[in-house]
Amino acid sequence: MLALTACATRNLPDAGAQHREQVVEQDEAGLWAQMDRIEALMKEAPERVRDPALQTYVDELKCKLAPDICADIRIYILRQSQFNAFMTPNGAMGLFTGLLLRCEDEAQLASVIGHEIAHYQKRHVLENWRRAKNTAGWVTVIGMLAGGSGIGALATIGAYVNFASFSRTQEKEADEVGFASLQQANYASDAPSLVWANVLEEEKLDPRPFLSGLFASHPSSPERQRYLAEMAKQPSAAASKARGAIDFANAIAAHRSQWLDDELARRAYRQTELLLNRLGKIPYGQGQISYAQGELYRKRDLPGDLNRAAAAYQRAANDKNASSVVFRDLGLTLKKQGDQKGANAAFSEYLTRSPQADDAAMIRSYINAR
Amino acid sequence: MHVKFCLFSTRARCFSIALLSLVLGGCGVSAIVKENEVIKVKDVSVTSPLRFSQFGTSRERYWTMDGLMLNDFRIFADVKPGENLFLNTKSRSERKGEGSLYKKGMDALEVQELFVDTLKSAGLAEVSSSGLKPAPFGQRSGFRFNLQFQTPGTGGGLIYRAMVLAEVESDTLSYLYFDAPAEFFFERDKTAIEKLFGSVTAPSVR
Amino acid sequence: MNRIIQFLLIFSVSVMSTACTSTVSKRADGMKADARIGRGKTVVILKADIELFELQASGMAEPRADWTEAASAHVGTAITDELAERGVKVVQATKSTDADDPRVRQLELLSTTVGNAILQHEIAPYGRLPHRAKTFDWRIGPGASLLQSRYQADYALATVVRDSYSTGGRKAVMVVGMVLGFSAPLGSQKAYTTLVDLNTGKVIWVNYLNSEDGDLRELVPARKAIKSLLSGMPL
Repeated sequence: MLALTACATRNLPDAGAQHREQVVEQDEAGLWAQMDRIEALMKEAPERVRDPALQTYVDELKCKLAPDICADIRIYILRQSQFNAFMTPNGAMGLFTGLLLRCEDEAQLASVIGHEIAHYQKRHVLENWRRAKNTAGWVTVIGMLAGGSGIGALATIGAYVNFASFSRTQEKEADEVGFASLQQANYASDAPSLVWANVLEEEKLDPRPFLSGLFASHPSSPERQRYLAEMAKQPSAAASKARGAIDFANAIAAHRSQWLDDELARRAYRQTELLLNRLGKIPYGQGQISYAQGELYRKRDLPGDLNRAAAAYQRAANDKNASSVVFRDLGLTLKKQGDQKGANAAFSEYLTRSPQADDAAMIRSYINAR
Repeated sequence: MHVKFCLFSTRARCFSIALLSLVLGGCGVSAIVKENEVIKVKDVSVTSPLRFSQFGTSRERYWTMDGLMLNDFRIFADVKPGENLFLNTKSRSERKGEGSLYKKGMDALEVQELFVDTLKSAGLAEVSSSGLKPAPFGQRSGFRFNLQFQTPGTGGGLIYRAMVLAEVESDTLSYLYFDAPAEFFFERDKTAIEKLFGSVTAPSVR
Repeated sequence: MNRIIQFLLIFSVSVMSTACTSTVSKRADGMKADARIGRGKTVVILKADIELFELQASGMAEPRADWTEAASAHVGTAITDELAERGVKVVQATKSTDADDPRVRQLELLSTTVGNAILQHEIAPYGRLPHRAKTFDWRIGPGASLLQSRYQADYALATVVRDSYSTGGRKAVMVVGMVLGFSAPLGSQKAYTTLVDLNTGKVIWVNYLNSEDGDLRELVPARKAIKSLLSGMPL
């Protein structure tokens, strides 16, 4: 709570329970109506992950963090490989799967959700909106927002994310309010600083806005890392400890392979390599990570990479739940290395495991090539 | 609601190229392809079964009947290692060797995978591939596969189907690509496109 | 290269947006200018997507929920009355979702895409597809019969309206702007409507309206605006 008093600019009362009922001012009503429309479209967006189990999981987490206004917040999980989350002023939160993939446990996810809820409670978007009204620089963004009904596709969400980039003061306030909710729900207090440190590490490799959407305004602020780490060291923070690593791993298990595929599709090799090395240390789903490492090195194909790929596929193949494609891609790698015999063995294993495979004809032609 | 050219970035670029070529006279490529006309792109020739609007350059052609959002046929010849599939200006990460670039030594599976990654990176949703199998590319041995994707985001969800016929020779990639909305357009145009795929001639030795 | 493309895109869009009041209307081949084929038939209102904005002095368009709500009601009434006058019955489409009926949703998305293609290739300047003869032939295909049976309708009408109104500040900008040689429009109404024959799946009529006057916030002028938007409609 140390810094709440530091936020001198805060002049809007918090959004409490059922704030919707209290939205009477013209500009806030307009903003809410606009966001309601976007939200209605977001519900139908093809990126939306429609998995009742995962939805229940994040919804319960949301209610743990904000029991009073839990019903006012709706979470949408969106299949996007970026590390990102956003909060609309009417209470719709977007969580990108690239963010879920990067969290190591429930406490880390909770720290992001708590932070986003804080933006809602503190009505930061309305604050920005009011400030923006007399700034010509906002015209383009708002124009996109305004035009984005039904045709604007992701541009709408993109424009929104830009629009909702918060000031340093607002981010700090959200960090503090989020931190308090994290403690109240008994989650490990170092979770926010860990999330942030991981983001910074990946970002160092390629400082594009890819990762920093959540922290768009001041992506590389070391100051932020500092105060988050300091908050975690407060004596009052020592008591909250829960990490929920197993629960989190179980909640995302069914989707993780797909999200890893999406991550690999970026072909941002250096960032993905770092990410996979980090996730490889988590004692869950290591077979998935080994396979992803094989994919990464095979796709990158720098000197030595095919050896790394083959070794990673071999590790993945040893997993008793290994998918048949592990053998196909191992075969492909061995073929590229000139080991036709090894390749044929792996391809045959693939066809034995998946005789009806969609690409069986192609794989058979590889085996028969020599 | 008025003119929205951009549903997603590759297409936005196509539209801009289209517009540019219509305004500037098509970069030396005829704006119309006639029925039964033989069109040669590098050493890949096809015979058009129908009339199309055309734009492009010496290595890339775009044909359409109803606009690129409704049917989009492409011929790309001699994509070289280090280039991206649609010969777009390289992005920042592509200039650094990352991103969806065609690479030396890629085989059919990896070309299919490259298409999937390229479409995903262009922002399309629910991208998937299927049906990879060997297929003749004129006189060369090639392969073909299908793709499916959806327009992204709020207001998105329109399902497209695509088919690709490709070949890799002397480390360069040449391909024919077609996509259209699964509802009505793909089925309607499929026969003509199959004819086009079947009309390819490409000498086996360069 | 990309700069030039961007310029051309902006140029082409702005050509469409600067004219004072203009309508571009197209009808399917063989449809007479005064054709009235709607008497006794049913039209489903597939979409009436309306949003109103208030232009701030800065140029920012602020969405106005109260205006949008009023305009939606007025436009709905005006369309229904206008069609009733022509002896056409109106039904409202229910919102379709994937869970509800994926094929209907695909058809609705396809109609929007076809509408956009028409806008781009028939209405926007320089957009015409060179290989097309001067015919108007656009369709959503035989799937239209699904919409026909879902709504028991013969035609489908979709309308999108974006309208903005200036504040006092904007007028000042306009005056200053004119002195300096550029004009910042006071606010404008853009409306686009498409009509599909559900028996054939053909788009039989489209109209694009760009106007700087008219007011959808009040019923009487809204009726006038809708009358002008639907004036050439063959129903």
